[in-house]
Amino acid sequence: MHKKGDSPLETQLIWAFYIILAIVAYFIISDITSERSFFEDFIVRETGLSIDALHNSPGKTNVYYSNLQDINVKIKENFIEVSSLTKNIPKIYSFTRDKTLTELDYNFNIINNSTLKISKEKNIYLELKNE
Amino acid sequence: MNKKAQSDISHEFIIWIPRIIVLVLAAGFVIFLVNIPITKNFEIDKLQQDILRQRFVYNENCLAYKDENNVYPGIIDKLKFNQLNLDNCFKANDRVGVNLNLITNDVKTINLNKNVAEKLNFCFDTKHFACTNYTYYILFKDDKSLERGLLNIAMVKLK
Repeated sequence: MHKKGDSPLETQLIWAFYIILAIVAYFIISDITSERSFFEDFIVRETGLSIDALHNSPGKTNVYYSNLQDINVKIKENFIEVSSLTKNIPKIYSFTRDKTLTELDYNFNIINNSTLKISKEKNIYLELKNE
Repeated sequence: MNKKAQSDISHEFIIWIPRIIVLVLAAGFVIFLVNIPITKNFEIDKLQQDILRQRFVYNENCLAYKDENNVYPGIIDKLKFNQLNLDNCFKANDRVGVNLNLITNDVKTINLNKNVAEKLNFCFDTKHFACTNYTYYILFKDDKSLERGLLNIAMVKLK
């Protein structure tokens, strides 16, 4: 039985809307709370802080991140973006540039188990090595 | 459109208002619940500022003294303490401001990203500002002599 003024079609539409909304909410929440999202959030901050720290180094320094896979790492100007290869919602960290060094401009699609090397000599360089 | 149809539409609209309010409140509550652990796990502002602060003392492009061959972290080259040099070596985004005070016989002050650096007085508001303040005991190179001084670095970041 439906309320006076509500047609059965209208009630069905409302329920359909609620179900679609619940499905969308489920996917959004599962994406936010997933291990994958956590990992991307972690790795963008970790690499960003490493780049900030490498700026401090007066000598040659290398930092390696191994076993990376299925992520895209993009660095442009003073932003580092890490996103999954399947979903294009990047996690972003803004590091602090030293304008006397060469500007960073990299885009790595990391598919297999790979190692990302960040090194500081006179400038800061990034390099991707497949294992 | 007749009067009854208009009345129906306005009636429908009124019915939907509480539904939308409840929906927004429920969605906001869920997002709030989800965000609590995530925000707590990734609080890196202090760590980031600790790292950034050290750039002034350790990096030859900032303030660290360098002779022909070596960089001397902790020894400040007084000639490098100027606005142009520090703007170049520390190009942060618009949300980070720095106030540097080099205290020797006199006090020299430089603000980086002045609009934000001047908000240091609002650091009591920890919800919107992340701040650190640290004083280094340093040696500074002035002409040919090596003298003692203080370098105070206050950093503020808009959250």
